Amino acid sequence: MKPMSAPLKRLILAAAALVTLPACGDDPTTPEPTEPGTFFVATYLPTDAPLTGSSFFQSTDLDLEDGSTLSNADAFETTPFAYTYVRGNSVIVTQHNFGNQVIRYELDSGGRLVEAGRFSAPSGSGPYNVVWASDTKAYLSLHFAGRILVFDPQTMTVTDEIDLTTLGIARNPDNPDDRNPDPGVMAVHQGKLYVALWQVTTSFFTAEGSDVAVFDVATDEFERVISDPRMSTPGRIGYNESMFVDESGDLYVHGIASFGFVPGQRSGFLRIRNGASEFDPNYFFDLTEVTTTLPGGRVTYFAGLRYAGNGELYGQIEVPGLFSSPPDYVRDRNYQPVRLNMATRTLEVLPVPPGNGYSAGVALEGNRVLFGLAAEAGSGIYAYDRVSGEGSSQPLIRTTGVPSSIARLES
Amino acid sequence: MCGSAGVGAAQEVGRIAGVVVEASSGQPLVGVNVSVRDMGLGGTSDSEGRYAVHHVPAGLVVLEVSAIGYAARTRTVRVVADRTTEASFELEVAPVSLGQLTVEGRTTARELRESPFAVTVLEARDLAGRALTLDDAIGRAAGVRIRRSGGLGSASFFNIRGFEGQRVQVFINGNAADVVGDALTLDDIPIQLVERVEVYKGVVPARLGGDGLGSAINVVTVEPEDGYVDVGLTTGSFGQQQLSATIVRPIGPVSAEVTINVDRARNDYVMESPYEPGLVVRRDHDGFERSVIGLGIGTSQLGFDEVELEVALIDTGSEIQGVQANVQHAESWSGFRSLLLQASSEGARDGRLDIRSAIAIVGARAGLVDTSTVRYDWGRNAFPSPVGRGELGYIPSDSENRTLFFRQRNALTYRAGDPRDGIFEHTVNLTGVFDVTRFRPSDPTANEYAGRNVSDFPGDLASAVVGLSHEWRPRGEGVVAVTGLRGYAMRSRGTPSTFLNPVVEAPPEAETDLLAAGISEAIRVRITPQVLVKGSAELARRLPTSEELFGDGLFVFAAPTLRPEDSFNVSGGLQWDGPVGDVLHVEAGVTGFWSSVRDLIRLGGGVAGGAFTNVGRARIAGIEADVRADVSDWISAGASLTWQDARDALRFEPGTRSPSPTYGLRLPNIPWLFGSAILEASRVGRPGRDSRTRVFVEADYSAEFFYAFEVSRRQSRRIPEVFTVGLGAEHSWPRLGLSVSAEARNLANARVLNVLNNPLPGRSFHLKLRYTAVPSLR
Repeated sequence: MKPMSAPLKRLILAAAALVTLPACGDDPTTPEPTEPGTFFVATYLPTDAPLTGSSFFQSTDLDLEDGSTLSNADAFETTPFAYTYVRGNSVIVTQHNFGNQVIRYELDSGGRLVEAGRFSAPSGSGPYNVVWASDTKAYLSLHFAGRILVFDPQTMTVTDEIDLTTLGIARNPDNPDDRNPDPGVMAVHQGKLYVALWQVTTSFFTAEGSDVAVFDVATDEFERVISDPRMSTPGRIGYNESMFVDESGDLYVHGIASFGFVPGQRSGFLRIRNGASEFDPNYFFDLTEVTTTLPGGRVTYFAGLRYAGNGELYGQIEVPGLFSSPPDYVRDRNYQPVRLNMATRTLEVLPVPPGNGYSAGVALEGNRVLFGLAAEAGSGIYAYDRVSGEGSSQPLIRTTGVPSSIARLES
Repeated sequence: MCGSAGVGAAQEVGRIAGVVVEASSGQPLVGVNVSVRDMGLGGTSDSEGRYAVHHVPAGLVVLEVSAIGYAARTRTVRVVADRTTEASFELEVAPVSLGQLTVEGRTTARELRESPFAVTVLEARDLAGRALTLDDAIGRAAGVRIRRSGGLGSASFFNIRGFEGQRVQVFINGNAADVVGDALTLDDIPIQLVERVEVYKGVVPARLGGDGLGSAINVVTVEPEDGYVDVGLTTGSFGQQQLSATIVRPIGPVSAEVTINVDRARNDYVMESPYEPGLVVRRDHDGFERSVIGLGIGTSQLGFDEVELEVALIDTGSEIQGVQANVQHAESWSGFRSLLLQASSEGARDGRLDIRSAIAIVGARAGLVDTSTVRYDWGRNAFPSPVGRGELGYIPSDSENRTLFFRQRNALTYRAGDPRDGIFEHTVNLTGVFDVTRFRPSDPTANEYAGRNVSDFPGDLASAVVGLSHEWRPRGEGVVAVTGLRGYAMRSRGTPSTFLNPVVEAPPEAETDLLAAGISEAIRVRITPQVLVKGSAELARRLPTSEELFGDGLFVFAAPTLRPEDSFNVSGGLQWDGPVGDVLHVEAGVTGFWSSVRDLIRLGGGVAGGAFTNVGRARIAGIEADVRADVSDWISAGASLTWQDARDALRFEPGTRSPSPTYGLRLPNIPWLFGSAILEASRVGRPGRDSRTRVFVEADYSAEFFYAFEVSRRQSRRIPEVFTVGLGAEHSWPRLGLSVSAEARNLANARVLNVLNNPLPGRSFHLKLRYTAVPSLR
């Protein structure tokens, strides 16, 4: 009798770093109606060990006022910690480390998700982030392969490939064989494709500093790498919201500083000014320097986040002081909903309970911010009212599993 | 109505008599034992092969005939009061020539089946001629599933009554086998060296010194006492080659034994990728090599019935086959060295006292080599490893993890009371097992790449398990009750993982002490000579392992406050052993079981790692049935079916009062309905006078089960339903000691998986040649 091999276990656990199903809408500054509508909701339902459960996703007509329970009875199942990307009436699912399939779903006339096409990414390539450049052009970052696939999301066919392996060596001098810059989060802004490069040195550890590669969307030609030593680990892999554009056209990049595991590395936000070709030397929102009233006083990085306009950003931030010792990843509730003011560089704790490590869903619904949390009061969708300043202590909607992605779908 | 009714003094009695001859020559056999099953009656054949048994109660009885070197026979005869019933026998030379061992094995097997425990016994006669690995053979027992990830040498685990992995105890000759990590597996034991396999379901006898939640596998190896030669050669599909040779020779007052076993396999079967629809690939990096060398000497000259000294050397090397990714370079290896000294004395003090004592010292090494600078997709396109080196994860590896293990095991059995029909009323067994383990992992390559220590976290563990059991037979053979107590003590010291531990201050070293106890009661009542009723209950415990307590030095953090898992198991059933109508002999049983499991240890996942925690609860109910029948002198058939329903019993989400959405749902990734069947025909003297032919067809079925909790009608991650059929034939020339067997498995080339996304081989063919000789019998 042989148990699971150590390398396999390592591989599985390594994937846990990149948790949960994020979703990104198109324009975070556009007000959303607070009326019922068709939502995309993804949940992660663990079983007896991390990554052995499944993720489920579905379209549903949520009514946040009725306090109901959302069943997964009609949900699609996919690999744990799959990533999802929402645009209009389309959802693209990538299967993280656990599968090679890239699948597009779209809403049918009955308001139900149906599969609209798929392709296979190269085996073991780590298909992570997807970003649309247009209706017929999108990019897929292959984290393990150091490449980006260009594909047509309508037909789900690969049209081109961008090799990034010339960008890996410089940032990882300790491992000269490392030619993979580990691409992840991407953003398309003003005709440019911005690709955050993790420059992984070893599991969950990245090189000091931040690299963002820039390509021309029209030609897919490489232009340059923008670097900055102040912040590390740019982009929360799987979460395109961690690289966002504000009303001024400035591009912000969230750095997670190796998940807080490397002393000295700094998390926070860097900014590329509208029209600039380098990081703004005068702006760095250093989260590692923020003090809060939360236990331990410190925070590290966001599990899920969304820019709401007017300099406000909402999300669940990790609070190391809320870990028990040793950490209990099932019972610890250490991801606290907060609001950042990007201009004043301040953090405000919201009156919404903290969730566990799978709690990453964030959505903006009119005046409300919706949080997917596995909190002590139960797993479900919680809300914070931006006008009244009130938060829910109980889930508005209870879910089967932890809601890791919430987004409105356009019919 | 009671178990001893058949031997009451007032019954009418008759006589059985006949002649025993050798089948091939017709020569009378002297000294053959002929006994009446369950009645303590019997006789021995004289120089003319004649025997007689007197005072046999009238009615149907089962005669058992056994002689060293010959296949044992049973026959059901009807005894008429005051008359002589004729019953003569032709005995064949034992086809597998395990000589006395085979005969003793059969006897022990029957004793075990008639014990109060729910136990399935696989006998040497069922195993030796098969071209199977031991894991696969055990997986065919009623109520057992073997779950594999690939071909020969791949990772595997057993499922019994819903329990899997470390919750099912595995013993080799009564010694817990899972003490040195991956370095020793049951597959390392050549199937020809197995005398029997005992599969305990539910209550495990306290004499087996280990911890678990119920159910155990105990492999008992042969101990030939005389000159003995056994050579087997197996070849099969996908580059499978296995050579096994055992020689035992008496040298003066000692008996010397040498065993050599070499296994090789390419495992290059074609698989349909579960990750890419339409992608069909031939596995090309799944090679496996293993060598086993065993040396032993034994003597009865040192004041014990037997004193043995054994040395075992096992080395393995495995390529790592990717399924999702195309792994081309990563390999694992292990080396195992053991020294075993054991002494036993049986039947001292007028048959009342048995003493067994053993000391084992084991050194084991295991490692992973994963340093490739490139990875490949299935099109053989290379791309750089994400961190420069390694195909499997984020950290390259060239590890050597060393384990040093010491065990002392002592067992004392004392029988008290007046023997009745040769059976003592009270039997008390006290077994103590003391283990010390030192674990010293090392991976300088990983440490160098990580820029810090990510692997070299040593651990020490000392444990003691004491089992005390009392077997009570108040009415001779009629009723047997066994009460068992187990006590566990463990002291463990390790270095918690700090690599990714987000807690600011982690202790450099932690120590954990654990105490636990378990209790069991098992009763068997003989309703009629053929019908047994069994019932048992048990509170079982499983202690956390070192890895669960201290992590793996990398992604699994320390959890030194873990509690033992516990399970309350109840089991009851009926068993039949005797003729049914015109069917000569039928063994059949049906057993129901129920378990309530608490504090299941699960790995809780975090952002970048996890720690084990006591979080799970489960209820398991099930029923299993099996039947085996000798339909005629030459045809036998068997079948088994198991239904086990494991449900999530965690009412609230962990750490909350919020109802759990999975409460009451079937626990995922556990087989719930499975069974097997075999039809076998065996003829002697056909086609050659001194030969024996056996053919069989067998089928295996497992219902589809879900990988995750079943919450959606669209759920796609499933382990599919499997139905396979196999054919086999064995032809042997007993007097020459030769046999040849051929098997075809999965004839329909069905797509088989029993671990998600891990395709198993399709249709395969296997051929086995075997030569066996017992010189002293010639």
